[in-house]
Amino acid sequence: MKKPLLLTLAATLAVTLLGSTAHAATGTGTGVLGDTKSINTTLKSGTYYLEDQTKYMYTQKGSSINTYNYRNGISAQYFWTDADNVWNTTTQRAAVDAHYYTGLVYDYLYNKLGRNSYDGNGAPMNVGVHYSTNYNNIFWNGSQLICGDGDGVTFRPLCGALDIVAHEWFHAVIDYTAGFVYNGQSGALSESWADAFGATLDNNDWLIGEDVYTPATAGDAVRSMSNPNAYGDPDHMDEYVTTTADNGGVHTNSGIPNKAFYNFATSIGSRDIAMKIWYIALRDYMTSTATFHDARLATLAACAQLYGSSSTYYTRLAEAWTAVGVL
Amino acid sequence: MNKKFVATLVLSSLVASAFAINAGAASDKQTLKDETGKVHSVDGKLGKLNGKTAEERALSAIEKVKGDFKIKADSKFKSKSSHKDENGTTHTKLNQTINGIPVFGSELIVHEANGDLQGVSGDYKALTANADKASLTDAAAIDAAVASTGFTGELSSPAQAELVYFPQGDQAVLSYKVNVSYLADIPGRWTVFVNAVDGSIVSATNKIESATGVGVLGDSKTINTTAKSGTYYLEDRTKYMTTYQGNSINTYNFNYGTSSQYYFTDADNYWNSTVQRAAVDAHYYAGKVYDYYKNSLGRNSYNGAGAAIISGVHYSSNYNNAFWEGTQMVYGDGDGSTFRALSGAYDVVAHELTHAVTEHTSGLIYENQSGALNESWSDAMAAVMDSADWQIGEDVYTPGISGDALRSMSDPASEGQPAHMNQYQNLPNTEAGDWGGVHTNSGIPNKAFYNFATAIGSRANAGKVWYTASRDYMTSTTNFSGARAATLKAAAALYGSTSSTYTALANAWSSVGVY
Repeated sequence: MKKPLLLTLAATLAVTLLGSTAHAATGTGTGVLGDTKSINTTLKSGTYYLEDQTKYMYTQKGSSINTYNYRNGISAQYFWTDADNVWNTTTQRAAVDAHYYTGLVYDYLYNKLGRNSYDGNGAPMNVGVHYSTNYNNIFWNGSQLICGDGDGVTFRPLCGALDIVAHEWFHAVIDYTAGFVYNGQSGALSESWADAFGATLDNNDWLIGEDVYTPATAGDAVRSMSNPNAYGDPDHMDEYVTTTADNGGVHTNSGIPNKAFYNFATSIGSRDIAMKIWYIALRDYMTSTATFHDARLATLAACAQLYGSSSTYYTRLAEAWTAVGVL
Repeated sequence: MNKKFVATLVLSSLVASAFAINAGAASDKQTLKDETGKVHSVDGKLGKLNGKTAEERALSAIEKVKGDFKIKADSKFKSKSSHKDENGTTHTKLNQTINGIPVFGSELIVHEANGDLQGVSGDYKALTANADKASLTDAAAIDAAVASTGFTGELSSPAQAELVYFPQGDQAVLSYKVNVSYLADIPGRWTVFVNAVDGSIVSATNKIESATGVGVLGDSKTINTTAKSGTYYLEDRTKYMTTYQGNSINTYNFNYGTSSQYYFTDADNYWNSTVQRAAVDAHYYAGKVYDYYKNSLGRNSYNGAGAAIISGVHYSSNYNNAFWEGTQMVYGDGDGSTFRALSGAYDVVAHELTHAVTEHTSGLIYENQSGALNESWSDAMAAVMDSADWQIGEDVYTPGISGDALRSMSDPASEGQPAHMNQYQNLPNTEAGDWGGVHTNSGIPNKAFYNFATAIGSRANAGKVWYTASRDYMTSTTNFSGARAATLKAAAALYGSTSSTYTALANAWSSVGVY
């Protein structure tokens, strides 16, 4: 009920602040997978831009969600513009999804977790797409999200997957909360917390990246939270991998806390509640060098804070960690 | 290791709380330690805190728990952030300092509700500083940090250096923490610690995963290489065997011949040319197989003593095979219709390297039933590692036909193999007869392995039984019946002869007619 009011308010404010030169608008876009979605754009001097001024952070401090174009280069970024606010060209698809999914990430952080943007203080959320050529990755560079197009074999454009976009933005949230050191167990927690957020927003399966990974192979994914073994990742401390590669296996050992999250969320029947506990643990109970053991303690502390230590959730959570050998 | 962890953890927390009661302190005080004795949190009604600001109260909290965390006298703290949550609890994060300089990663969080201390958690490090003054300038540190990344272009944001203590063992090493970010074909977001006294690199971590190789199927993967005089080689020196035996995983190029092998080199460590693809996969999968044997089965390389793992790719032309030659792996490129480059399949690589393991354990003779077991053991370990399906070689077999494979362990008959002793094929012990049908009759023990792994719901545990049987209970002439007995002995040793695993294994063999 409040949303239309906010939107109108934002639109009004935009007009008030910037005169008649900028208007919040609602466009239609085609995403990476060919699906159609409604996106928030801004009209300036007769041209539409991928600038979303409808969020609380805009009314609060003028921050918006902005999506830019690397045009397959690695340095200069360009505005996306469109004459009729129907974003349906092939090159626009990656931008449409990056813009739309970033909006969903902002909404989840703000509405469900009470966090205003990744820094908790309304920082603008900027995304650059078409980075380099055939680039099979997406990353948070400390100030913006940067998406590659993939090589078409390993990946299609990576921002076409809500779980991946959510995962990457959550790395920014982590930078502003626990600030996990990206190595060993704290690095694996960084990966796992980002996966948990991805699976909370993209909640129709427990796979990560399935929408954009290996377009020619159906049903596979980058990782699975319900069955980490399916992609070679451990799901129990017995299988913990000691390695120097990948910063000490941050994308491998994340399977263990991932399975704990899966165990917990499925046993209580709510990814949202599980995520809330994971988020509070990250914000209030973990430091940059947290281990898996610390993560167990921190999530239990957060659960006790939110629901009490005699709640069913608390018991389920303890069981979820115990089942993966984190005691 | 984990069982020990439980006991220690429970014990130490009990001891701690019992001690606290005896000492007459807060009665619900609970100290949680790990197996090393390191304190992770102190919780309970720990008393009133003094101070107007959150930082002042947090610092007074440290005074109350300094005995629990064994905080040294020269360890000071300053507030990093403070936040009051939805329930009115304030969480103040403190960063340790020595000589006023922050200690990287040494942080404690003070949890308090309106001045009542509820707990302190985090990771305090008791360290001794190696120096109190930097000899290096911050500009020199930035230069050293940027140079260590190998990137020579323009940074996407100016590098900044901050003086910190970096924990290394029980030393606090005075270092500059330098953030180096750049956008390139392989972008970087490094955190580099440069020793502020001698300018050496203490630690360097890149937060952006760098895909450094493209495999046979066009997929990107991270491979471990070695730089020598400005050129990169396919030499993986990141393994345990490098540290303890000085050996590495090396991948060479037969260059379409059958005798001489050449080095693979690359100037920018981005292995993306077409001719490199077979090498990228041979190298990458050899590393994965090494890791599996080392981490999951406790075996250090195929000989159990850290032998170097050598692979040669582009063997001959249109060669539709891969083999373990006795000292190294050899991979053909395939003819493009029956096979693509065979190193492109993780299970093929695992299969061939397991032949090397078999040679160094049971030494199963490559003919008749012992030969079929040799084949089957390789297929089984391949399916343990490449665990997404029960097919062998599906990733490289008949590129034009999807869904087929060389063999199927779940349904051997689908690829023309027997799945039961009553289908056993008596073939001549000649090359034409495939040495008594070693690639045919392997379907029977393959199906037994499939039956067993699916019954117990763990390929990893089934693989452990198979490996232990080969290492400890099988000889070079073991036959199918002997394999049943050997795996049962291994299962009894690992899980006990009254375990459900043992029963499942006996049933698995019985159902393929092996008694």
